[in-house]
Amino acid sequence: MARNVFETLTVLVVDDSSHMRYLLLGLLRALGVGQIVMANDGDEAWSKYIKHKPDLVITDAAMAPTDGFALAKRLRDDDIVSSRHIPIIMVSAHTEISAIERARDVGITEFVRKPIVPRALYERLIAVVNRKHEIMPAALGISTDEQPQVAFL
Amino acid sequence: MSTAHQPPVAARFVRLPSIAERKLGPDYSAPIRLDPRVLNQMQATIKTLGKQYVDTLGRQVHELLPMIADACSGDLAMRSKFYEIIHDVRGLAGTFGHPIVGKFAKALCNYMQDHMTIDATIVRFHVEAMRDALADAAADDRIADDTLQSLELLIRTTADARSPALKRPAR
Repeated sequence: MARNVFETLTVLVVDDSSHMRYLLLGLLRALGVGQIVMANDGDEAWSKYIKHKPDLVITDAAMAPTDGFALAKRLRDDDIVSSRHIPIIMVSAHTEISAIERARDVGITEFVRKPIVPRALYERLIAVVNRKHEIMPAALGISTDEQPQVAFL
Repeated sequence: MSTAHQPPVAARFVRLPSIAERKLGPDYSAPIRLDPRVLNQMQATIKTLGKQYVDTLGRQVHELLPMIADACSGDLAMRSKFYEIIHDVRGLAGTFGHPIVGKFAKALCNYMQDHMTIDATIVRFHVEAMRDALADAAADDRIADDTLQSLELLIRTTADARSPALKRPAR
């Protein structure tokens, strides 16, 4: 029987609402996720990221003092190659176009609206784990001078 | 535009494995459809947690009523605390089977985000609507929508009566 890919994953869940954290914990456990690490805000998430090196991050948008957008930006901008390319799923009740554009601009991979519908979360997770990984040429040791055109499939 | 006469571009195609392929090997094939057993288990999780959450939701909604006066008085700390509760309800009530409560919470969040000065009567009407919807879990969605429209109208007419300087521009 094929192995469940979720069993192999470490997922970092970031939300300032304990109810939402436990909801996501329950849903990820139902999917069979191997390891789930939880954080209260973006700052705590960063230190948990460094310690656990998760395969993907699920984060709320509005948190204090460091929100989900700032966390995503930090992950994308950091020199740690794995963080620059880690899939980030944002879960938020802020579904206005400005919030979604901001999410896109900081490098959010998928957006799930609150209230959470299990099917929507499941579909996004399936999409994220099966998507071909994108890495910048420099991270692969490819000189952009030597290879001016690099396409990612 | 035709590309027939353009010179060939030196290109390198890099195909990198997905997370699933990295974890389980290149032979791994992604599932074509969602597993209904997993979905059922996720629904069961929500049902179980929902039973615990309903007590919290009731407590939160009842906590809000006595906070209204302070939250609307210009006390920023109280306003922030009040908003945090509403925002929490907005995100969770719908997931746990109280979508109408969530709708009223969302409307109140939007009102608080859009207005620097908030009217205690408008806020109270929203909170009472949340309380009533929570007390009547089978509340009619159409009645909720009518109530929301009435609240939106009340917000507009109240804003028109105030100085335009007190209203923030639309996001």
